Amino acid sequence: MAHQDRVYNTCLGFVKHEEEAEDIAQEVFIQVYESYDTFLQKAELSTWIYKITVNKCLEAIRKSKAKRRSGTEPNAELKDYMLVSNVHPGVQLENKERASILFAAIAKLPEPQQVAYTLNKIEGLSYHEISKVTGKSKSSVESLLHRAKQSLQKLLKTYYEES
Amino acid sequence: MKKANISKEIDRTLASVHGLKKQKTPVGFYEKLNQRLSFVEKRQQSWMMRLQLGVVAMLIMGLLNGYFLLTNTVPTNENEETIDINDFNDAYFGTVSLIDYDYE
Repeated sequence: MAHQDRVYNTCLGFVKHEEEAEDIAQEVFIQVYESYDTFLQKAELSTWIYKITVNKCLEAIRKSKAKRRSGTEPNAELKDYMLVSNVHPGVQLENKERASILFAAIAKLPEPQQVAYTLNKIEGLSYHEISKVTGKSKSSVESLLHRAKQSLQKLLKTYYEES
Repeated sequence: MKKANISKEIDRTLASVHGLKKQKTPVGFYEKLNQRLSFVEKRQQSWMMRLQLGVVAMLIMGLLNGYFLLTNTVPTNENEETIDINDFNDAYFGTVSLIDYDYE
């Protein structure tokens, strides 16, 4: 898969909104273009691009949350809905509803767990690849994923018990 | 929902993102990116231009300052009028001083 598709899919995994994912993907490539001189050849190009992508996505999510808190976003409620309950376009039709619930639960996880879970379960990255992207050890990635799964199970349990 | 059903539903929900179909970048991605990149380049160029202009302006100011410092003599109070007064003082009061005054 070409870099642009990987970047776009990673963005989709985080923001779940096609236009927003495209916008962030373009920002990633602009950043790559601007800071290519600072790129150390020691690291793999794909890892470096993944790092930038994850940071850009988290930045976009944080900005959106901050705007919602300060109330400066005109379509705050709509954006909130999109960020939390928009479903990745690659989800199979019969899983759309469940995936929507799952994405809403993922959005409630702490940031490091959210990143590890998204990269592993949605992007299909291995523990080793995640550790390279996040700069954490393989064991801490394992632990993050374990805690993320536990938290998701709790959140989903509460959701299904209440509904 | 029953407990057994809940745990099954949780498992199904967690598995709902398995086998996600990868998406292709939307049509026109490159064109948009090229437009944005050319805009970024222009912005960088104008910033460099401003920086260069700033440096040139500072150099000109420095040169002008240096020129005025070197060409203009330091103004003193010693003009003809003050020289006359000094001469007058020396002639009439120059020797009289309270410090040297002999009180005895």
